[in-house]
Amino acid sequence: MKKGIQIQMILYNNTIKEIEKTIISISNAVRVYQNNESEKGFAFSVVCGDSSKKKSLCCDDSLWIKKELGNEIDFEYKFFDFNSGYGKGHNILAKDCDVEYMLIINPDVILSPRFFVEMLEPFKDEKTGMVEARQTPVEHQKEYDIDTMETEWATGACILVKTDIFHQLDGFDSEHFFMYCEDVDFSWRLRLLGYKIIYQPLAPVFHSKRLSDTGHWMPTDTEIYYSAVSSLMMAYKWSGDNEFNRLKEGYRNSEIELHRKAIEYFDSLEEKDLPEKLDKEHKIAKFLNGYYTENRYIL
Amino acid sequence: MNSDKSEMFDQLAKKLTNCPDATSFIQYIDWLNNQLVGNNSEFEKKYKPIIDSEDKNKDKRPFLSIITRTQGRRPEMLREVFLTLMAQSDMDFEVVLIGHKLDDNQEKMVKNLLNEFPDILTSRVRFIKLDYGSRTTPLNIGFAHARGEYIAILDDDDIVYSNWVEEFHNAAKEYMGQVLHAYVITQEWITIETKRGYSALRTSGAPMDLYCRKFDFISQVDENYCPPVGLAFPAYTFQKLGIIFDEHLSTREDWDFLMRTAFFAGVHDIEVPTAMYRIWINAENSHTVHTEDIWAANFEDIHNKLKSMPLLIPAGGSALSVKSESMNLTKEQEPIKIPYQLFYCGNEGFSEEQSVVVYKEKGAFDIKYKLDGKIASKLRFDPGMKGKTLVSIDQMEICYIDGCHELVECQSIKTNGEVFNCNILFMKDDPQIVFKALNKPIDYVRIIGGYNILDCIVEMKNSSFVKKRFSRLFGR
Repeated sequence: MKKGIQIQMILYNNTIKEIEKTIISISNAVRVYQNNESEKGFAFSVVCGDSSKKKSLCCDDSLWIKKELGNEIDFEYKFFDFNSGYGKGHNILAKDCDVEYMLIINPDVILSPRFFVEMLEPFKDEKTGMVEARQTPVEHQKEYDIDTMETEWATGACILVKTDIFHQLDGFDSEHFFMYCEDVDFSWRLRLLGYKIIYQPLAPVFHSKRLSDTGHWMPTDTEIYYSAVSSLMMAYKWSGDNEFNRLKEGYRNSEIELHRKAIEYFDSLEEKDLPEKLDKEHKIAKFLNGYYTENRYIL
Repeated sequence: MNSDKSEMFDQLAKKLTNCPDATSFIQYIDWLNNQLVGNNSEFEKKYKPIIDSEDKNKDKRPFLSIITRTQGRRPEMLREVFLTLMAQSDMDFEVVLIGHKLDDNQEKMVKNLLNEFPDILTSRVRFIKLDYGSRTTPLNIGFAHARGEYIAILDDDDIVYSNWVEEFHNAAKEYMGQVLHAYVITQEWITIETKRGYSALRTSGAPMDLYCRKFDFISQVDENYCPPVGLAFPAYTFQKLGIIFDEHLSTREDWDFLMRTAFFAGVHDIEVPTAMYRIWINAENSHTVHTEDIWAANFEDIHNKLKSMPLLIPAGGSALSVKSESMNLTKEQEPIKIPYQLFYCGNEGFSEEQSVVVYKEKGAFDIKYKLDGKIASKLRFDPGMKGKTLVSIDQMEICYIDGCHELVECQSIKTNGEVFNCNILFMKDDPQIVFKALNKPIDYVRIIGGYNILDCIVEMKNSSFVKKRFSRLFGR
């Protein structure tokens, strides 16, 4: 595989104004990387997959992006013409990727200047399969080892992964996860192959999340519904029978209508719609009262 | 000042000609006059010339000037400050970066770090090197150099959400001239060593809403509940009226400055969080650099200043009742049964309809509130209704329908009382203890503790006084 990074993001009704700082930050982080590291032939490219109904970017927008990225960074825009969701969209973009690494980011993520310098560092260990950036101003609360920086799963908002591993795993399981948990599932499958996931606190990225005035998340209806469906799918696929029963009971008796709808949907699935069960010996999967690893605190 | 105001003051001056000096209003006018045109040579000598020299650059003045002080000792934090500024949804700002007492290496580091960022940020930053003065001097220098209509302080270890500038800007369109006060989330952070040889940053506690509260002029006299990162000051109070930071203060200088400005300009609340105040557990901060004695001395200085000031509180400026009805009760009049009420709510706020009440005698209590699947993102426990009470919490447990148990730690609660470990002193009526829940069906909430009505009236001169007294009382 050629040396380099393909940076890919999925657009969904994003305007050029919304992604302009992401593009500027990519261009800038590549400049800083090239000033710091002297590896020749290390190529960068950006590819945007658009899953909106209508094209999010017009010709002028693409021209502006190309100009901002300069001659050193290739740019490609692919309009899918259907709502691919996160996992399927990234799988499509990854299909033709022939460079060593893929950077998967949300379009509202802004990279810090030394991003590539720090994110590539953990790959000096051959066992590293994926590196996750630290999100700010709201950091994820999941635990990681402060000596080895190993973590049990990586949030999909900003991850750098080896392309050959991504291909080996057939990418995200978009058949069973439309939204949420595809990143946990991907992380665990990567670890089943024996690779490590490293959390990189030295690579902060701005991810525009805010808390309520009580310091809590404010989930939307879409988030409530799809996170319920995906949590059931995770428990089923990763042989978490106790967790599966606990979730079903909880959602069935929940006061939240969307939880009960999630159960209705799941019950309507036939055997062929469900994934093959993995990790029957429970070596990788972990279910902790609705979380997939230990937390430092509850958000 | 516009002509309407001139006319208004002229008329007022005529009517006040024979007014006795002892009235509160005349005292206030006297105090104000001294503040603005009295013994203010420091402003005239040191800062007025800078302000005048910047005036010629104010043709296209930005909305906000952001003053960032750095001593060049925490690059990883400063880098994050710049990252969060680059992410602002409203870029109508400039940054006045004050490098305070930097040696050559530190200055080089700060400049290199800044140059790592793209033009969209660097074009908005002015670097000013300052080699003298106290920790407060860079603020005066920064405020003097500021070209914006409003001025905010962003220290080199704080971070802001993407709506920080935008919320100030929107509020200023309607409340121009007032101090703008936005909610601030607090969170504990630590630094960790890495194999790269430099530190990384890590959150270590849940976000808290301690500073998500409206500005209250009365409470603010007693203690500061407004981290500087949540404030934007109108430029005119500093640059035209000469209300400047007190450089004799080595800590709490922001509180002193805020109060003197707020009593003049008024305060408008922005009731959404726009920033995060980071509490460093293992890294250098103003609490580790200065001793407790210095903090206490500055506290006393500011209190003495506030005591000597006539205070002008705008209508609706304080919602607090400072007296407790139970202070006037005899032993016989004390209630026999105490109502212990638990409120549960999602995002809609607490209400009587969503509450459970249990009556018990004072002393030890062990209450199990059955909620039968009610969902709440936060809970509020009201131990009785009166102040002058001391409540100890031994255990607070939330048990969810799905079998998950959660023990609430005393550090994570929010209360209108004074907390000393797990003992809470309520001087005022309507005691409240608020804590978070996981927004899923709750089976029951169990609270174990003790409730006592205080025999003596504790004079609540200031919260640190009470804290010291009660720390000793409880041997902690």
